[in-house]
Amino acid sequence: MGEPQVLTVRKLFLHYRSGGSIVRAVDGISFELRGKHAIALVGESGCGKSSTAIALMRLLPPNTARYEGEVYINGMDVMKLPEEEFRRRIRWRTISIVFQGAMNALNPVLKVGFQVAEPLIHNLGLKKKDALAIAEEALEEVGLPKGVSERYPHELSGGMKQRVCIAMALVTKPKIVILDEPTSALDIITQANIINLLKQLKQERGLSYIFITHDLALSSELADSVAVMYAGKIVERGPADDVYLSPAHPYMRLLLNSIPRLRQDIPPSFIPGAPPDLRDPPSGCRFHPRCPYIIRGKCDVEEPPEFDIGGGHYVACWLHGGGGT
Amino acid sequence: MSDPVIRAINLKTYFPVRKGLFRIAGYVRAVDEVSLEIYPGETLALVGESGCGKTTLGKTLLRIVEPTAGKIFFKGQEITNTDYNEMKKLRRRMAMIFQDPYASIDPSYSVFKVIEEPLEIHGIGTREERAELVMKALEEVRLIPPEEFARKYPHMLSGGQRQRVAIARALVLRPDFIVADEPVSMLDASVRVEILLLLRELQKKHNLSYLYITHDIATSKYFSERIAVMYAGKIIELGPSSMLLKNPLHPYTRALIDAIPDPDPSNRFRIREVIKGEPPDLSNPPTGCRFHPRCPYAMDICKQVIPEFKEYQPGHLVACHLYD
Repeated sequence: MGEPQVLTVRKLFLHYRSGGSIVRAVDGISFELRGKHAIALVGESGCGKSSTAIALMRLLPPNTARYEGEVYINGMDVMKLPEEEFRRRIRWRTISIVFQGAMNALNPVLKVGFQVAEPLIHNLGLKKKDALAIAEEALEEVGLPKGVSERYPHELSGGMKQRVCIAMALVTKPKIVILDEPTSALDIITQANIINLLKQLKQERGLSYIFITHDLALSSELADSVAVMYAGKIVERGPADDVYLSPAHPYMRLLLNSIPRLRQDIPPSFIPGAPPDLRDPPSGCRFHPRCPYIIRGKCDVEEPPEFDIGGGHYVACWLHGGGGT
Repeated sequence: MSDPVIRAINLKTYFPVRKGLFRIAGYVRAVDEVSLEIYPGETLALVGESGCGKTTLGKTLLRIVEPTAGKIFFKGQEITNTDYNEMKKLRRRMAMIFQDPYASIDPSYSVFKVIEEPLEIHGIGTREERAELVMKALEEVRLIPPEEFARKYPHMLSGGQRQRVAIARALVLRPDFIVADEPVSMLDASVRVEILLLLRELQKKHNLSYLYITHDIATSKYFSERIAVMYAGKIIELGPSSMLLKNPLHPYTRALIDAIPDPDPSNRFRIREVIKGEPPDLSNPPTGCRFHPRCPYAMDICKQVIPEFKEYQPGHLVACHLYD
């Protein structure tokens, strides 16, 4: 296992106010990330994946109702840092993000090179000239041709714009990069090219990734470990080999069965029902209304804790502990 | 085999590129010399990257977009030049399902009205008869109880439920042919499978033919009889799904298939072989084979001569000089 942990998250909460109710988007999740490793955060839309990213970057919307927990980066609990210090020491400098759909949010009237240099100027206080030189290097590192820094976003293809966004996340030399659906708007061949680039950068720069995606097949391209989210909770987490090949939580098993496989003949099946409303999640295990293995009087009443099933593999399901089966 | 429901012969759809008000500077060749047939009860998957002309081809087959040249037959009848009124009658028997159920359904309409509208346009039935047809359509797409769903508005529905409404709307006129344009690409994995299984079930029940437009080859493996691969306005390979996926002939088809991940943790240890470059600009496509600038096997002839689309094995066609 070797590498020390660069990120440890304990009981992280992020709730929003919406109308008169509370949306429990991230509801007490815990996970770890080792140096030079990638953890995939997978789950269906609305399960709290992107909110986890927002919580880690501390980019909270105004309707935040509850934001607490412990987030250790290299051993220091950064949740205790005041905003000014977090901005100066952590955000972008230690942990950065490629936002979902970022390539469509590039400023159309600014040259690409300047946009990549911006975090250096605003967050690190570099002079414009130095920042532009570093931005140039970063653009080259993500495989873009020389001279691209002088061009505008509309002159670039989707794949090139996504590379610009990756350069932007790397230019401040962070150790941890959050990738929120980094290829979701791209074609399959462009996607494969971007994933190759992310693999290379991870190796060459010793980066750690939090790879957020709803695409389980794609997640296996980068993940050394996996955390499966359902309705604001992590229901299963562990090494990639264990979670993909012997999933323990019924939700993960069923979700894997819903993936149409190209290289095997296994007709996909679906999970009946829909994920719950996070304003009013079900009692007990949040998956119990859809679970074919429900233990009545247990799963619908008592929330399962995380059970250690060996080798760093954890599952929050009564089938795996609590003196039951 | 029975007669095709849809047949296209050398179909072209060009869009003029204007310079100034009147001068036409050139054409975007979105669909260029495409021939295909779709048989009763069959799904033909049309796969390719964005901008390759998939959607334009689908719309041209329904004459939502007018063809520039070529011929279209619907159940043996040529519809290439059919006039507006006659076409309106024929449209009862064909329908389209769009990618984005958030955009394709009028948010101010109740579910009832969304599904009733096509019946009204075609002057079908009395009020009561229409209401009955709407309820039946809702039941068929499993929006149950139908009375309850009929009263709802689109914003009260999930993405999957909206797509069911769109399917009910397409089905209510009892069409023979449906163009489904990326019908599940905006949905979560499990809901995708649910909707695709529903479309298959309805297909069996009503002997429907589908053109399933998708960029997702893995779903076309399980939900289509045949696959057509489109690149830069042309169909470059077509064949029975299992045959085409097991033995892809065209280098582009191979590249597409190689780029698709399966959920396999050993993926993380390898760098995938991926072709470089981007699909060409359709207003100025490359000479010869349009794939030649990206093709690892390109020969001299590929730059000069457009490869013929011809049968390699029974039912398996390819346009590539490697098979000359």
